[in-house]
Amino acid sequence: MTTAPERQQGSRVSVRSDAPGPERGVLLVPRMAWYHLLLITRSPIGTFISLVIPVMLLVALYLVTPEMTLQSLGGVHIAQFLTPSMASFAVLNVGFVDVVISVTLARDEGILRRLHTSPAPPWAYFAGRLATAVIVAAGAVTIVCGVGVLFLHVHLPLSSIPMLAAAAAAGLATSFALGIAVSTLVPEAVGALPIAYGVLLPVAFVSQVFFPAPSEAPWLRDLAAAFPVLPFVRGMQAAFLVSSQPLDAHGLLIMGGWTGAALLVALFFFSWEPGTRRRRHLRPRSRSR
Amino acid sequence: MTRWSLWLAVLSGALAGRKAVSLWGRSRTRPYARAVPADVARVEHLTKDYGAVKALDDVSFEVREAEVVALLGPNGAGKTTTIEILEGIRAPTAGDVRVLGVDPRRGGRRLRNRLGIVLQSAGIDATLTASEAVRLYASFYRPRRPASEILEQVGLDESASVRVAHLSGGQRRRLDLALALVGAPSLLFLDEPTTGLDPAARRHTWKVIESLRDQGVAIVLTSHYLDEVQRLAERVIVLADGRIVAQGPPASISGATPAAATITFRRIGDAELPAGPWETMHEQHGRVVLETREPVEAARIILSWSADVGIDIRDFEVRQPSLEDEYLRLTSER
Repeated sequence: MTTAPERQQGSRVSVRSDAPGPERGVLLVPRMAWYHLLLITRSPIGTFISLVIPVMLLVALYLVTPEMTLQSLGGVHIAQFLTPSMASFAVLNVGFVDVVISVTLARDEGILRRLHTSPAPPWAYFAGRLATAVIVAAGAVTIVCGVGVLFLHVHLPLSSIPMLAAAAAAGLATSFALGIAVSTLVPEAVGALPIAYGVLLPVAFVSQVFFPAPSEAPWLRDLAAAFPVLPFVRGMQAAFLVSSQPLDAHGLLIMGGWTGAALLVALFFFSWEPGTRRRRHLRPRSRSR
Repeated sequence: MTRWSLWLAVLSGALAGRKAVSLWGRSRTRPYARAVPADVARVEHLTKDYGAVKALDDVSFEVREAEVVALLGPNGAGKTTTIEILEGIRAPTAGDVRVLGVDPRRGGRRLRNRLGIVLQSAGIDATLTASEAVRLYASFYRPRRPASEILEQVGLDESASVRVAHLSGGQRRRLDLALALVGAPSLLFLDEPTTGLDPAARRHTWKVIESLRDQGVAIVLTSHYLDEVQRLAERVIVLADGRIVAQGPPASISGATPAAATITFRRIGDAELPAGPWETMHEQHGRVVLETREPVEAARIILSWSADVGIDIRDFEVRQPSLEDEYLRLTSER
């Protein structure tokens, strides 16, 4: 048996205020963003889908009805409606679907568990993830709008770009918070994609992401008005359509309410351990305790 | 002692302290040299319930500086639960736990900055390279060690640019260890650190653990390899059904067994053995098998008898009960 070497018994530092602290959280945000960007560049399938599906839908829907005009929106060309709508869809994909999938996968693989045992503050992880989502969403909106403007003859006034950016930022913030909240409900990574799209697509349909619905049933309109996607999409469309309603205080209130509720769900139910919190408590412990 | 010599002593002490502070961030020889309490971790009357299942029941022990403490026990004994409570991942149902002087649930980032943790199961992004993973985790700590130094220490320097997805199981386990060492921890938790390693890699990891211990790092280890525990641990805590059934140095645990040492030999010729301090005697496959609590005295009597009566003795062997024998006895009694 070896014995402990002689050591200097200096001050009993312990973990008090005079002990060396970890790296400052704010300095870790760029590091986390770099980390998430690295993951995206190395395994770009999710981001590729987020970018490609909206562009494909934009082009496909345009090609189906290339001459179509929308009387309900003042007789504008279909591409003028589809371009901001698909840009919104791209933001929802980046902020919601990608987040649900990537966070659930990281949790399932024990990556969140390892991060949580490190001195990195939890918020730095989310801030880094959000910074990455901002970069990818900006790229996605630029590509979708670029395709619309360059190839589909869509008109985007330069003066409307700040409005577009503000609506995209608000939509990304809300969808990101909702993505984190929904990830707490997904027990395993295999369920992330169907659950994410199972939630997003119906809401997107009633919220006029894919087509304008001037004659929809009142109850459907009321239902859509309760969700945050409608004010977000209208805010994006307002940059392209004079008839669309810009993001106003009422819309921001709805989006803010959903964002707040999502943050509360995340605060109370987010788990860094594989499986949701409830499932972990119910799971019989077969492995070594 | 004059007043001047007293001042001189104080001044030299202060200078020595300044030197130590300025060096520990960069030192390659003693990167872990930081002042830590003698009791690095203390567990008192720890209980953990999972519903009706009592995972831990009145567990008490402490871990001191530069000490390797091994938690042994069969699957479900409570080893990982104990470690996870010490890491602050799980909350105890009852009892008091102190790690580096604080409650691990409340120690926060400052505490985690001084812990190194090799979890039994935790992932690393498969698309990162070993070097990128180490650099990412190193960025969380202050002070931190250079990634190249860590990778060299765990024997992954040649795989630094290999993506995690392409590392073997053993290499990933070494990367786990590397990620636990990036912050120069005062207390290291190793939950089955050599599982999946080949014999050479296991021995390399043992050397790393021994060198960390020699530098003052306290280590809490769980393992299913009793040879590993016997080699590394100063103290062994045997858990069964959530309770401590034995605790002490490996030698004291294996020596505390009521089972006797076993003496075996082959005798060439027929002669009755004399009376001796053995409890049982029988023949098995042509070998005499004796069980005794006094192996030295028994061996002396047998060898004297052999010389006196001219009986040739071959393959003489004295086997003391091992830690494994005692571990199996302790855990099978439950």
